[in-house]
Formats: sequence, C-alpha cells, structure tokens
Amino acid sequence: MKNSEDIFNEIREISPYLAGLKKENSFQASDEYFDGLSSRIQQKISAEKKEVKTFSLLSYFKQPQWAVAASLMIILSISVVYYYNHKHNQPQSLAENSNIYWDEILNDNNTIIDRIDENMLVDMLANESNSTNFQFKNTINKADKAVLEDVSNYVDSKYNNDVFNEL
Amino acid sequence: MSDFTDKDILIAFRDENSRNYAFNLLVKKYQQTIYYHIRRIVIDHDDTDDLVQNTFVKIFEHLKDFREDAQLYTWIYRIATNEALAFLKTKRNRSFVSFNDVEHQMSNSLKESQFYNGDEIQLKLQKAILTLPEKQRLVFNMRYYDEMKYEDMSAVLETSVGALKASFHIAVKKIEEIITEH
Repeated sequence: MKNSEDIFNEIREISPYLAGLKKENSFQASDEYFDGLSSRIQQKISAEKKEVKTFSLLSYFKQPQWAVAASLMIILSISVVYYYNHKHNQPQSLAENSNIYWDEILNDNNTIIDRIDENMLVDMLANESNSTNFQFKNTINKADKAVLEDVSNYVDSKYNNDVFNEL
Repeated sequence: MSDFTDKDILIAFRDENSRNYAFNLLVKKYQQTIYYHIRRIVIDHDDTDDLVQNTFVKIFEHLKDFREDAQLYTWIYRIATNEALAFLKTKRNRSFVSFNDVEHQMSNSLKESQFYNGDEIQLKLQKAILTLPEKQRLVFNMRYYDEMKYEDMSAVLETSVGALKASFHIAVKKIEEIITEH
C-alpha cells in the first residue's frame, strides 16, 4: 500500500491531470483462460520434451561449428570415394597389360595352345600340302614357297604314314 | 495459493517428486501478472497467450539453475519482458515496417479487440502510451500499472534507478501532453 501511495504522489507531482484519471485495467482475459493456462503450459512442456528427444541430433547440426564440421566430413568422404573409384577404373598402361597377358598365358593351366585341337591342326596341314590352292601359293614369294614346301614335306613324312593310316 | 512463498516453491521444484506440483503453484501465482505485463507490450491477446506460455516453458527449463541472488519475481519478469520485446523485434523485421508502424497497428487493433473494454479516456491513454519509445513505455507500464519499485525495475531492465526515474518522468509528461492535446 505504501508503494501505491508513493507512486500516486510521484505521478501527482509530475502530472496532476494523469493522477486524476481513474486507473483501471482495460485489457480483458476471461477466468476460464487463466483456469486452463497451467495445464496448457504443462502440455506444451511435455510436447517440447518429446520434440527435443526426437530432434536433438538435428539441432546439434544447426549450430554453425557442427554444421561446418559435418559438411567437411561429407566433402572428405566423397573425395576419398571418388579417388579410389577413379584409381581402380583407370586404364592400365600397355606394359602392365602385356605383363598380365603373358602371365595369363604362361601360368594359366588351360592356355590357348592347350585348347587347340591337335587333330584339326594336322588335318589343316595335310590339306594344305595336298591342295591346289594356287591363289594362296601365288601370293607368297619363292623363298616362302620353299619353306612351306619343306614344312609340308616334313608333315607328310611324319604323319601320313601313321596318323592318316589310322583314320 | 498466496500461502506459498517463492522460497517454498523453489524448494519444492528442486525435488523431482514435487516438481510439477511446485511449477503449477508458480504458474497460478504469477500467471495474471505476467499475462497483463506482456499484454500491455504486445496488445493482442493471442500473441500474449503464446508469449505467456513460452515464458513459463523457459521458466520451467531454467528454474532449477536459478540462483537466489536475485528475486524470483524480478527474474520471471525479466524473462517475460525479453520474450515480449524479442517478439516485437521479430514482428518488425518480418514485416519490414518501422517501430512507429507496428505501434500504430497495435493502436488501431486496441478498439477492435474483443478483449479490450476501456472507455474513451482509457483508450486515449493506451494510444498515448503506444507512442512512447519502447523503454519509456516499459518503464511507464511497470511503474503505473504494476506498481513496481524502482529497485526491482532496475533488476529487470538492467538500468540505474536514476535513469528509470528520469524515463518515468518524461513518459508521464508526454502522455499528459498527448491526451490533453487530442
């Protein structure tokens, strides 16, 4: 009460007009509003607690320093993945390729030579020696012709007697 | 309800078993004071309702850390005042309007509001208050309506008692001038 009187006297000293006005609260709020306010606040607190639990991780990254750190981590991860993918997909040099090729040929148990049918090869050579494939023979020079004839004779002498007789 | 002192409420709040009960007591004790304090700043009832709820949510979140070197009453007032002022600031920034435009909007909405029942002279008084700068308006409302001591106002607004007295003096003079001129 003392404070109210002090304030009234203070106002009257400054403005007798304002001190003379009836002081009243013109703003309204119903009693029902205040009756339910406490429970509405409690509900809001409960709702916010649940929200905080759900989005705590998200809100963590809303802080600038964590957002920057997360961005850098993502960029770094993408760079590392890109680097390794790029490295593995890069065409190998010719030297490396040829090494691999010869390695495959030499070390593979089922090499190209193994897969050639020996009988078929003999047939081909025999046909070649007996054939009248002039077109082929005319396209090669004399030296080559001599070599071919030697090979043909050798094959004839080696296989004609035993292999062809068996057939 | 008034049988419980702030000290009783604080002790009960720090015990987890009686926390909700203590908080309910605190809301009941301060809800009207805080509602009208915020209402005089933002004018609109719905805005006030949101801000009152936000204020009490913040009080709930931080009350366990409250140090008793300040009065609970001034601490609550301070939270409410900051909420209301932050709201007005956001409103001005969002709508790209000046301080005067927002206060003009609030002044226009006074008479239209179903939650306002003042007569013509009270309406004039409220409109005159709304023409004051923000700080003077706060000081006038807290002294004239809430009948707050300058020392408590000093704790809420972090301003010296001398500066508050000067602000109140200027505010009263301006209000008288506006009402008597119009």
